[in-house]
Amino acid sequence: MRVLIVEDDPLLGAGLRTGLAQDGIAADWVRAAEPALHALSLEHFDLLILDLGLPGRDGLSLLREIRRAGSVLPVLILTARDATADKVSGLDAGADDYLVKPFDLDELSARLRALARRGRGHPSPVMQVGDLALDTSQRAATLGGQALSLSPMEYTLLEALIANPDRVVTRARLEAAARGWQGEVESNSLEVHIHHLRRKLGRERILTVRGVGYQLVCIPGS
Amino acid sequence: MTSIRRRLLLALLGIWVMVWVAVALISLDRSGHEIAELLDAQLAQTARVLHELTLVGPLSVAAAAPQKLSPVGHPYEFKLSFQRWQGDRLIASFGAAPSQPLAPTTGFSDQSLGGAQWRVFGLPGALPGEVVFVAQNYTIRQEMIRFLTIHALQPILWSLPLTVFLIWWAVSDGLRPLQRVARDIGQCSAERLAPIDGQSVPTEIRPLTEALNGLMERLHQTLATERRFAADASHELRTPFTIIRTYAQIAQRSTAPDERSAALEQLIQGVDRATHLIAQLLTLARLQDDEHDVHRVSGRGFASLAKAAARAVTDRQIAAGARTIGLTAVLPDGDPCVVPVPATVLEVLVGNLIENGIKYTPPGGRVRVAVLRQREHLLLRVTDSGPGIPEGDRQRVFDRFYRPAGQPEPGAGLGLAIVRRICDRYGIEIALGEGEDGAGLRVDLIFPAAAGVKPHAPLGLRIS
Repeated sequence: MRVLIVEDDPLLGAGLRTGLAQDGIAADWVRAAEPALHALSLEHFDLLILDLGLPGRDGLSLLREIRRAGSVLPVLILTARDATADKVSGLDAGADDYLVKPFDLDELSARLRALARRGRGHPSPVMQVGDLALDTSQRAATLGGQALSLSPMEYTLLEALIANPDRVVTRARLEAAARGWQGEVESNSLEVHIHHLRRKLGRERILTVRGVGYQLVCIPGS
Repeated sequence: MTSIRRRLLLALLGIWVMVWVAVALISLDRSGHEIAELLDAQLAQTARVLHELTLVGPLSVAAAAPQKLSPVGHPYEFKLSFQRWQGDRLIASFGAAPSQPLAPTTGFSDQSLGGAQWRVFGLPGALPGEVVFVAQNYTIRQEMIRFLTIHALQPILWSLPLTVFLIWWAVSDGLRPLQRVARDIGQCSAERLAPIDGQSVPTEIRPLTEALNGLMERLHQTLATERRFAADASHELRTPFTIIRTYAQIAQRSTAPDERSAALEQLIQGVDRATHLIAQLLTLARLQDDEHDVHRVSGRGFASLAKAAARAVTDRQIAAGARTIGLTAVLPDGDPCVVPVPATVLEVLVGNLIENGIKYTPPGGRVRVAVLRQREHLLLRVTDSGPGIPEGDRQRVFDRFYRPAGQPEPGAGLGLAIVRRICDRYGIEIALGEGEDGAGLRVDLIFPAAAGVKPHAPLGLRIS
């Protein structure tokens, strides 16, 4: 899961990034509306965390522009404005959730996971493809009922693949999901992590679509 | 406690009684005098009639008869005496007259005869030595006067309770608007500071209600300021508290010692931010309080601008050094540059400007503080080599919580708001411009001449 944080306060933005990383959520962080639009136009994000009180262009105006452009990106407003009227106008402007500062990091992560699930049209925290199951609330995977031991990077890649069963997930998208972890992903490091995943899941479960990306294959349990 | 009602009642009653007693006394005196005149005239007339009668024939029989109350007469008829003297000889007498002359002289006189007071009239007759005396007992006069007195005073005495009641009622009615105003005031509270309706109250109470409404207006403003401060404070403190909470949670969940100590480091920064913000908010709130309280004495004073600038620069050398910014001051030699602003306020003022400069100047830049004398005015100039403020934004930067677009530094946007408030309060002019070489920001504060302000002049009155 890859999140874009729009937060003008440097200390808080950095803290959010670190805190979300502890929960296995990779986050990019920008400090104003224009860089946010730029980032959204260039890369894929699963979620947007939006502060309303930005210097210059306001968060609500940014949100309206995103929605006008037809984006269905789940948006969580994270703001100090706690008045009911603010919440109403935030949600009506197209936000999916609204959290008032100060907040609990655990709650923020849980809300982000819930938003991501709904964004995929799959409200249960457990995603299943054949006998492979991924519990996003626990960040744990099981194969045929047996727990799998995955590194955070392997989990992130598996999550991106299982969210799109029987479809090809592009290299760019997988790299974007992984970027939150390492900054720049080297060209061959994606292959390395996929290789590790295959070793743990079974070679036949992840197909390589040459020049495009990878695909998770459904293998029914025996 | 004095009661207006009781005081008015007693005063009105006292005046009423005094006036009536005076009126009664004067009218009694007048009517007594008139009665005396009338009776004197009657006496004289009686004397003439009797004299004429005695000329016709003797009245010895009548004179010898004791005077009795006549059934067809009048109570005031009796107690009349008559004598007719011819030389030393008593020719005729009538009534309770003694054997000696009723009076030693002719004309009107008062005589004491047989233990009673008599009014006597002596009429000289036609013959030489002939005198006719007629006397009337004074009791008639006294009775008439007593009768008049009683009848004049009785209705007044009877009307006394009614008058007391009427005065009581009138006073109570007159005081009713006061009770209404008291009720209106009684219904006021911190949440409901509605002005008292001053149109329907009597003109005498209007100054009171106007003064009260003025007080309420000031109270309302103070309360609004307090509420705004509380709302602003709680809103602005959310960000530093969020930072503190977030890093506390990161530290709590972290297993790596490096990550934990880094998080705690950031947490301390968050606490520092909150502390600074609270100090700024309190400064702002105190300045606002002063604005409402124009007679406040603590806001006055004189201080050396040069000294305040020097201290503010020294205090912020470390902060400037941490950002590799050169912070320098150019101060006049030996001239303290006294301005009509208290030292504590002056330090906040200069400090905020310097902090603002340090904050927005990129590392390696410089912030310069200068105190200059321009004719009779003193000028504080703070220039930085930062990005400056575009002309269009120069007014808005002084608004509370205003932060221009593209601003990389965190902050609540209170520093310059505080600066402007102080300037408004102390009559300091602010001018914003471009820094040296057309880059950065130049803030000029033009102070009012210290000599032109009397030490006892309430500076607060300058606020319009």
